[in-house]
Amino acid sequence: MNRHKLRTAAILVSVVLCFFVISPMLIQGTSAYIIGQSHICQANFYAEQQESSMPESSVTESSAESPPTGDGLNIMPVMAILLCSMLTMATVWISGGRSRHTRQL
Amino acid sequence: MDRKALITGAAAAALLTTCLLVPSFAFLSAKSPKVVNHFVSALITVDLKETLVDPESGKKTGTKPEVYENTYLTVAGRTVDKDPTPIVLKNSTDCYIYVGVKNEYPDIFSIEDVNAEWTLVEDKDNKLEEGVTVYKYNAVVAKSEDDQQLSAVFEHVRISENFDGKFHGASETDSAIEARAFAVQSENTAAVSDGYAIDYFSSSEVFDKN
Repeated sequence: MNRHKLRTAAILVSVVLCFFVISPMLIQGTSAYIIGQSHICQANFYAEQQESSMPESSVTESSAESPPTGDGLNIMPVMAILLCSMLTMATVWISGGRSRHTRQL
Repeated sequence: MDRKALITGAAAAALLTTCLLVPSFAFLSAKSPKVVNHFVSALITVDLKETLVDPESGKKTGTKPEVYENTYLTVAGRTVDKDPTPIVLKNSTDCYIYVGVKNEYPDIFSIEDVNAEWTLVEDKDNKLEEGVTVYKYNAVVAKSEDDQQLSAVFEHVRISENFDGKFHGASETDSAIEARAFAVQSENTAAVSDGYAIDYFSSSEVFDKN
């Protein structure tokens, strides 16, 4: 029983020695030099925001002043559709008038 | 009866001997005064500052290094003032001073006019990240009772003429050049201090935390 207690005490002493004496010595051994470090000194560089709307607006203005060929290409189909629908309406109106005239006869 | 007398005599003799010997020993022995060695942990305290710069012009407006941060408008082809200056605070032990600089865009920003007191440390084993350079102060900074301001590591940063107005990184509009000073005791480290500094600046955390 006494021997068991003695062994337990020996183990405890070894553990304590390891934690408080040997480990710090090992840790110190890896970073033994005295060192110092400063704050980070920072230079922030920013790029001026590109005025991306400027070229677009100038293009819009120039298109308003002198109609470029590109805009004509967009109007042509609209004009064609309008013309077609007018022709269709006229055809329907004329044919309707004729059928009414035939029924009266 | 005889036995009792013997015991008493022996005790008296022992007492007498003790009384005679102890003062004699005290007289004969001499103790030296105590020699006490106090080991005080040494330390190095180092700071790194820059002179204040006007963000629009990139030129100095201050007269001495006093700020940790400056802001610059990035204009292609412009050279701006930037003077990271280490200050070794009083009572720091003798040390070597290193300054590491992290330049995110080495193709856009180039460090110019490195002072003669500073030398670029060679990264023999390619441990440093791309864009990180380390400079060493040529002399040992000796312990002093006053703060010691060293010369600036360099004086200017040049912005490339090819800068197209955008940074091609996490942010298109912002970038930074960061610098940090590192000191290591000079005693017994002459042969290893450069490697020690390279190891320190090769850690990715060095420029992340303040």
